[in-house]
Amino acid sequence: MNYFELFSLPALFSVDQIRLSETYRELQKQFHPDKFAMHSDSERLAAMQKSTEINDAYQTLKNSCLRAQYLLLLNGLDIALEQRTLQDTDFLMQQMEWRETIASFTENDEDKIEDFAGNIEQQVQNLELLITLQLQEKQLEAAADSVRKLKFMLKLKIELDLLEEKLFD
Amino acid sequence: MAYSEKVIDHYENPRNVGSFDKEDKSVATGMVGAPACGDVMKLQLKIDDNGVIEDAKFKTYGCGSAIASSSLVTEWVKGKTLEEAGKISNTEISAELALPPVKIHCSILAEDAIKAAIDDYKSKNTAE
Repeated sequence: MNYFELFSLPALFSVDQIRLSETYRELQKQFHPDKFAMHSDSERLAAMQKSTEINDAYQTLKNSCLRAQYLLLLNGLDIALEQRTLQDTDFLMQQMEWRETIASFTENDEDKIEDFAGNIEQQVQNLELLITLQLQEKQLEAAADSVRKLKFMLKLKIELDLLEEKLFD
Repeated sequence: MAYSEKVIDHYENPRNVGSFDKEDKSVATGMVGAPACGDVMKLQLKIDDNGVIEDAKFKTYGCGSAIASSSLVTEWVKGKTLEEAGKISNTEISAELALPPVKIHCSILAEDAIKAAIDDYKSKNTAE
């Protein structure tokens, strides 16, 4: 049973997040170790393993990058542990510019930071839409490349969050 | 995780940080990124008329090991021909910096940056 089947969800990149969380809570309740306290050792162990699997599935399906990687894996393309480098010069130049922009922000740039964050969010959404289409069309290599780019975008968002914390908290 | 002394030295005193004009025909630019950690590295080599690297600069957004790897490479490539520089391998870089296994990809990034720069130089100087 794959993670989508476990959660009774269609194996698609776009996932109903509300349904995902609800199903997660139901499944967790169903297989909670406390419910198996009076059962045999083997039943307790099985419940614990199921509970772990439910957690792994939830973490994977919740996160767009991990979810896309998992869909690629289901299609026979494993990029989760790859160490290859990306060499798309234009994309990386843009990444570097954005990193430089983040590094240049000061506490007086609240409006600029908000605009910048909005732009990055838009880029992430565009990329996720592209991944949806590429996976639908079974363009696996192209989809894998988009997922690699999405990882850089999510890193950028983390850097931006850290900066906001540093400047305004 | 503990960084080696050499990594800390390069991280705290990075050599050759900066940029050259990437449109300059004597400048080779290598842009590479590691999806696994989101690190971005730019390595630029200035090549003299004899095909020898006279200067090198880098800019890296990433962890200490990625910065140290690129800083080290800028020191190593100076005075080398492009062909010699192309032979620098990630194992030499990671051995010099005593990188732990989880940081090997940083040295791969630096090796690939040299190769990407060499490719850039060749395509710039053959497409007349």
